[in-house]
Amino acid sequence: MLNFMKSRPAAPLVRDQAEIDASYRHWRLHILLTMYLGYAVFYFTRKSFNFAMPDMLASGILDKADIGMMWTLFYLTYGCSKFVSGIISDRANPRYFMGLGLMATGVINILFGLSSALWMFVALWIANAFFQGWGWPPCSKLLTSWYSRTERGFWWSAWNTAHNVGGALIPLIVSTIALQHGWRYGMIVPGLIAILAGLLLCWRLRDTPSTLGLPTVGQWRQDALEMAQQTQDVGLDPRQILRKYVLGNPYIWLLACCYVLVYVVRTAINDWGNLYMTEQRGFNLMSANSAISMFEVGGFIGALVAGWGSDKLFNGNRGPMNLIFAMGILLSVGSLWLMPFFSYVMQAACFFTIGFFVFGPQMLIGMAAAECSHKDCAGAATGFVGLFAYMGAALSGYPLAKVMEIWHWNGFFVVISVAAGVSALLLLPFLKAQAPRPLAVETG
Amino acid sequence: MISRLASYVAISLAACFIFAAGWFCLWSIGLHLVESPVLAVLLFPFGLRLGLLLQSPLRYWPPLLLCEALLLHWLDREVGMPLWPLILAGSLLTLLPLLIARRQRVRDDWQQLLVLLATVTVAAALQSLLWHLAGEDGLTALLLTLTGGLTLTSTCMLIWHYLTRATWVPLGPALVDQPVDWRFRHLVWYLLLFVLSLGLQLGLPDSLVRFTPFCLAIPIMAMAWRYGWQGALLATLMNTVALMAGQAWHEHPLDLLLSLLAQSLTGLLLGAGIQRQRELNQALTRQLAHNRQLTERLLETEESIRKEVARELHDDIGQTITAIRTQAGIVRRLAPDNPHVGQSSALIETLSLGIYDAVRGLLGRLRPRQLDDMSLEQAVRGLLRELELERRGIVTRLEWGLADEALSDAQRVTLFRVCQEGLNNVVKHANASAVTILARQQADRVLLQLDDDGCGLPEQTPQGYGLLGIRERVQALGGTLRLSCAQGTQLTVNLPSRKREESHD
Repeated sequence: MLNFMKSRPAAPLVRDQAEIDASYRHWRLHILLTMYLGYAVFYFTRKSFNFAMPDMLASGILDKADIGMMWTLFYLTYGCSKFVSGIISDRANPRYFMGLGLMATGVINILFGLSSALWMFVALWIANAFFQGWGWPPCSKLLTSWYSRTERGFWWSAWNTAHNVGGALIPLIVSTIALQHGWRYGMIVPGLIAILAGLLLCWRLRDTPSTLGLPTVGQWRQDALEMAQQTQDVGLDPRQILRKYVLGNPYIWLLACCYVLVYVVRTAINDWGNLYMTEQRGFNLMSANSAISMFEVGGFIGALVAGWGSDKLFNGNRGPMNLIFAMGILLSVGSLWLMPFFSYVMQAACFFTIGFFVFGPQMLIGMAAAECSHKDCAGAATGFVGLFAYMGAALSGYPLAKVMEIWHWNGFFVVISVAAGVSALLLLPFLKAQAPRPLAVETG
Repeated sequence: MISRLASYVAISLAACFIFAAGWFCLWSIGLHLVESPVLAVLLFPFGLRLGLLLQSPLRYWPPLLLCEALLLHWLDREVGMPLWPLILAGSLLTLLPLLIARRQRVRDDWQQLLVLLATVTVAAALQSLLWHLAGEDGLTALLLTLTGGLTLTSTCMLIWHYLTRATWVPLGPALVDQPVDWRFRHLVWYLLLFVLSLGLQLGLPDSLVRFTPFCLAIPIMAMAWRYGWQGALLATLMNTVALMAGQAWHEHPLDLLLSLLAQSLTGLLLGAGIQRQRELNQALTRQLAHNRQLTERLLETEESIRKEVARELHDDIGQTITAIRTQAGIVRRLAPDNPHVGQSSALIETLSLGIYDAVRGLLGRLRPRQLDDMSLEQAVRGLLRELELERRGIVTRLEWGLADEALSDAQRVTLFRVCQEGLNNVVKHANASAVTILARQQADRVLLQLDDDGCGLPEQTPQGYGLLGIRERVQALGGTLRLSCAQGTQLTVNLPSRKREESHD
């Protein structure tokens, strides 16, 4: 029954060079656009609850503790689902995997809008987290199979901005609808959009180039690096690949640990930022939220700069750019902490810089994970680091709330500054691996 | 052309974004240390600009300067910085020392550090002169610019150096086979030092106020000693963070700024000084290694010449003397009745035999002939037989664990000579009853040991002179010769093995 979900065997090769060029050009662009739209809409169904929540709080359906619990459960389930579906998606057809996942989240959002019991909310939100995990791995599979090693930084970063576009649009949409028609519509409308977008994905997305009878992208672009990655350990079976290149790969573990810390910062700013603005700086909720959306704008630019810059300035090596941005996170967190001007613009500028620096590593680490693992387990590798990322996100929920209870906002900032600093340190062995060794002796 | 332009624009944009974001963050952090927003620009953002301009290619200067101007203008509108055109003018003025610094042909790292120091000083002086002329407090400006400049430019240089010291190669899945180079020891040291200096800055009571500043110098010196200028600058950076964290909430920003300045200066100068020593040291080490190679080669050459001369002598003179003796015999037989002829020919024969013996002795000293025909071990055994040790009642033991292929010709000859000289001493002076010869390979060294249970060496002997000559040879080959007369005589020779040398080169 689920056979259509499986990745097809390679189709007979197309011989005509002009035809190959044409379909590559066509599909590279269209797949990117479709993935972009799809992933942005995944954000709609993921964040809809965050912005419908104030209205639900106001109408007394939920209280703050329930919300904290739902967040933590969501992040944990989402992280696990990302890893599991990463393993599955390496052998699945991204077209239906991503499309059906998106439709499922849509259905769940609609059901959420129709329910009223707490256990129902929790159950539905966990189910939503599960299907949310179907979004990223297919994308990383497509991004590693349609775009080659030397240009991937740019394509991946362009796609990555879907995070920010989705994250910036959803508060506007849901807040407006919830304000006018109540929170139920605030959940149902994103759900409907998701179902429509899911149908579009099933229609417009394609599997890897080989299933369309095209040569691999490395051969098409004559990218030596890409071809080297393709020929690495061809004969291994998927289980061995997973064990060798993901679970037993120390560099993936390193990236995963670093990702935990980056996500502590990202989620802390994202989820607690508006509380900081309203509680500490005395803004109203609307301007607080719009200042937070500067975080996404900064992230949009930061991801592009980081991805493209790592291709252009460091030959597709993600390490140095990662280090620069990790140091930037430390600086920018410090600047938000110490900023003595409480005007809206200054605070928004701080959020902008944090977003700018956070989304560099947020993207580069995922990309590096896909590139450091086997061609056939890109989804599992990104899913694996994603699992850790959302452990970090879960950490910045309840545990961070405890820290704030005891040490107030200073404690909050100390925690995220330390997280940023340590994440930069964790990148150092990764940089060492990339640098030619003999030169590295002197600098320590 | 178009693509180059596009790439230039894109790189400039990316650089400007990173620069602007960093600039803004540093400005915001600096606001805590000074009274007004415009002075905060003179602190860290000033240094960031100097540091980046100093390192980046000339063609990216205009976008960076433009970016800074826009930032200043924007901040003026937001928080009010009426003096911002002055800063802009100052940043244009400081291009002068930057341009001069770029023209310096600098070969060594330590010179680069000094150039950096000079550039920052001149740039800070220019900026604060402008400040002074505008009727503001020039001294404060000088302090701020110097502090920020030294702190940030050295950090920029450190990072820039780290990022550009190698061409970066993309990573692939092949990485999985490469073990992680954790460098735990280094990381732990960094962290320990950092935590220590942070703890000292935060934790010491006010009664120890004289002691605290000295603690800043210790990590700088330790790291500079271990890692050169990079270590010094890294320690300075860690100190800066610790100082800022420790004193940002205190009452005296002037004190903090001055200590930041002083410790940055310490780091830079110490870094430059130690780096110079390190570079000299490295040059010296290289030169020494080179010298050793040269002497080794000299010895090899000498040995090969000796070998050649010995062979020629042996072949030529041996034949000639045989011919002379034959001729003398013929002469004697041609005139059997003449006693004078007989006498003369006998004399000729004796004399030529004398020459033959003399030449043989000479040959032995020139080159042990045994080594041409057999292995070193067999040659040493031959030596033992030749000296008739058994007959003299000396028990010998030979343990030979060396393969000849691992030794160069000079080494073989030297080892043989050591055995020869040592055994001669045993026979002549030691009055020993047992002698042991041990030869073995030990990691990358060759070890030869001669032990006897005799009465040691006599105080002054001509043979001691022979050993002296051998000691010089051994040293020239990069080895050591030790002679101890505690219980009997023990002669130990230690040579670097040839295989390692070659693989090392």
